[in-house]
Amino acid sequence: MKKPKLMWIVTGIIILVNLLTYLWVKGKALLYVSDLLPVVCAFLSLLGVLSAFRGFKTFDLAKIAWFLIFIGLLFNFIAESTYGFMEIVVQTDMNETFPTMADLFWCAAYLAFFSGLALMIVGYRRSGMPLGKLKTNIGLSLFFVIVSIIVIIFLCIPVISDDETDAFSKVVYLWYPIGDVLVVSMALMLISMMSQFGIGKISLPWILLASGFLFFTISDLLYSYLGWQELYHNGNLIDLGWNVGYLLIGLAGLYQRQLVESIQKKK
Amino acid sequence: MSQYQNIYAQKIYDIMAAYIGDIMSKGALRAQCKILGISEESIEAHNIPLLAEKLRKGLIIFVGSEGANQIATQIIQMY
Repeated sequence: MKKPKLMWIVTGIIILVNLLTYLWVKGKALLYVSDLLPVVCAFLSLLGVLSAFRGFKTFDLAKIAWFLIFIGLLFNFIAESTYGFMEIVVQTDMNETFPTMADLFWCAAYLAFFSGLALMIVGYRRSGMPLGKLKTNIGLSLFFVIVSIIVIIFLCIPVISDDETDAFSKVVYLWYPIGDVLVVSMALMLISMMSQFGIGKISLPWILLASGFLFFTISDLLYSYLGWQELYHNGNLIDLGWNVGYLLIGLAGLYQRQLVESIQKKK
Repeated sequence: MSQYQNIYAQKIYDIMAAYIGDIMSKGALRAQCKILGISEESIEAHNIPLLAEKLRKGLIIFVGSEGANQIATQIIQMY
């Protein structure tokens, strides 16, 4: 069986397990699943993107871009593992502890993701390919502006104006939504550019990659809002967005490898 | 499946479509011809080396240097 097909099956199983667990399981078991499933998903996405990275022989723009995405995922994997370890083994109350070591890795991951996606966009612009349909670009720009306004009003302003939070925690709190908006703007640009070519074997890796980051962002922003309102608890369905995001990014890596290999085979 | 009246456009399209599919091949060919100030239907033999080089550079981000070189080499070979 081809790796992307196998990954789709694994993705379906993980989403199903995630949904069923969150709907019916309670207590410690829910804690284990909600902490360990992201570690598994992050690991699978790491493998997928590593596969894409290794598929490129020369250290060109494409390889560097996928390498940066890999580094970002590696940070996320370390962060997910650290978070799980702290909550399950050390039994830290993660709702009361912020920021943790895990947050520092998640924050660092944004830099790698943003750089990787930005390189892809630079590479695309250099390619001379058309930049997308005007209507799509206007629609995406409007969406971006609306998301930015929502983030500023509901997340940034409450964090900045809170007197009880120390400066370092504020920086970390703000890092997430700002990082999300920047990463999602890159992902939206990728989707806009790729939408011109439909879903073909060359556009599929980029579309899956950008969709993965969109899922990340939606969950991140909801988490930031719920966390700030102290409404987030283990087993919240928004976790599904992160897990789906990881798996889509992993799939993107596998399809990218498949594309590169299919060209090499025709030599 | 695209049908060009211009024999070079059709050959370039056929080479590229085998690797990167129909829609992207059409898009890439149209975009690079536009940069060269010609249309797909007005490609001449002397345009091919430059067109192949432009297509090579354009494809690197999607398929890497080796893949892009491989496709461009096949295009140049028909020159």
